[in-house]
Amino acid sequence: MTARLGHYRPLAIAALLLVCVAGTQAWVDVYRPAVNDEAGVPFTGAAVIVRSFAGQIRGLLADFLWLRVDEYAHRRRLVDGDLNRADDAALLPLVRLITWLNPHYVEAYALGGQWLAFHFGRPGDAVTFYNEGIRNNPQAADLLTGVAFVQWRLLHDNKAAAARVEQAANLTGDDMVRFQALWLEAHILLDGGDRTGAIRVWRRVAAMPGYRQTAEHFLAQIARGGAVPAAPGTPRP
Amino acid sequence: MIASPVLVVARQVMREAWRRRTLPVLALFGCGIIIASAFLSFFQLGTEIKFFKDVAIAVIFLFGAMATLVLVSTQLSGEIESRTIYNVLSKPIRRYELVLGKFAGSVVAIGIAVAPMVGILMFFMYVDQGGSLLEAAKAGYMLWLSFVVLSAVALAIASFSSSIVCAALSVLVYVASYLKSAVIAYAGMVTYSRLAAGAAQTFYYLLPNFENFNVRMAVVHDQVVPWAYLFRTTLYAAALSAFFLYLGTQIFQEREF
Repeated sequence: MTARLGHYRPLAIAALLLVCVAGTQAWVDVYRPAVNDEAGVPFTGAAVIVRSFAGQIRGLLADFLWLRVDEYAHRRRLVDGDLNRADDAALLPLVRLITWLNPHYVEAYALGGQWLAFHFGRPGDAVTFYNEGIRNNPQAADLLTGVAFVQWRLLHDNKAAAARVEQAANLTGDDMVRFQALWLEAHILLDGGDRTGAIRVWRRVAAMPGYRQTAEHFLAQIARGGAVPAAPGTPRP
Repeated sequence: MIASPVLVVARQVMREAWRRRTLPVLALFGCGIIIASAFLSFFQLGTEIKFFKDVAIAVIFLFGAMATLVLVSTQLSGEIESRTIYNVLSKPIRRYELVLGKFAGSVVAIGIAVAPMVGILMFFMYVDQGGSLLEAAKAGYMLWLSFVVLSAVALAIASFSSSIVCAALSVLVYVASYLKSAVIAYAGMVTYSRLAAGAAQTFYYLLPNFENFNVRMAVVHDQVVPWAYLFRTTLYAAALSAFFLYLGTQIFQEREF
């Protein structure tokens, strides 16, 4: 009987060790999002498959794809004095792939959103793409102002656009980023006929060190009933 | 003082790794690529250090994994193919001590090979003020842990196969560990069966998960890797290595030459 039991001992030990493996894996999983915030990103099935195939070099792959996009984007052909849209269309899947491989690639989200909105005339898709980027990178002011611009200029949804730039203006950090966001917000509000709102925003700008003169210039312009000038840093296709 | 047979074998493995020059050459290549990538200047302003950290960690991972496979897959099968195993086993050494000695020597040798690459990463991070050096050291440690597990997997496979089969199967296990999340996602897409979902979950918990050792995101984006995570992952690596080493020693124990 004892000999018979002894026969199963290696199997029992192996099973016990497997239980330890499964247990420690479950224990590690609890902390996983603290180390890799991608763990909480709701990827699509296709994205999961692509990411799995790339394994641990997916970040590196995203970086090199970005270099490729950058290189090809600067080699786009001109047709009748305008950029060949087919070249951008060929590059968009690369941009999508980059954001799957590294959802913190803010530059890829910004570029993809801009192309969708201004090159392909798909502002709705651009907003969806920007929103995905914002969800994965809530601190990215570039994406917030980018989507605001699309909502303002192409979708004419001034209220949503103003809310987005307000969100960008409230991000901590760079004063320049804050100024740009408030600048855009003031113009969006003025364009929507909200003069009081625009004046309130310019007063916030005036309170920022170094921006008083600029704010006073625009406040004076509003007082004179000036028109809305072209927004600064307008995303160019 | 009489050294333990495990230590004697481990020392021999390290000496052999140095003599064969494969490990030093791989380490040298890795260091060269990391140093070269530090001088690439065509990236966007402000993102060079992020790119550098990404490249350096990927290079450490690739060359470390390559060194592990080259070193470990030739350990047992090399002895068998060159028939030196008869000499070794005629000495007062048990078979499991031989396997454990091979494992210990390999992981120390791989650690020594990987250390200069991590050192270069930390040096350039220090020079460019590109984030916490402690986090870079933690990333190096986590990568080494993944090589420890890969060594245990390779040794378990080497206990019953030739060196080429061992290297191929180890790569397969490694790739499967990443593909399992894809399999789970696919299972979720194509079936609503609870049984399939349960099988996928079991698959997830029992197969090695090399993604646990991936802290690249944290290091590249200047986040802190919690000590608790390090501790838990170390335990996970220990459990996984123990399982595969046990498997390897049991198979090797029964093997006839």
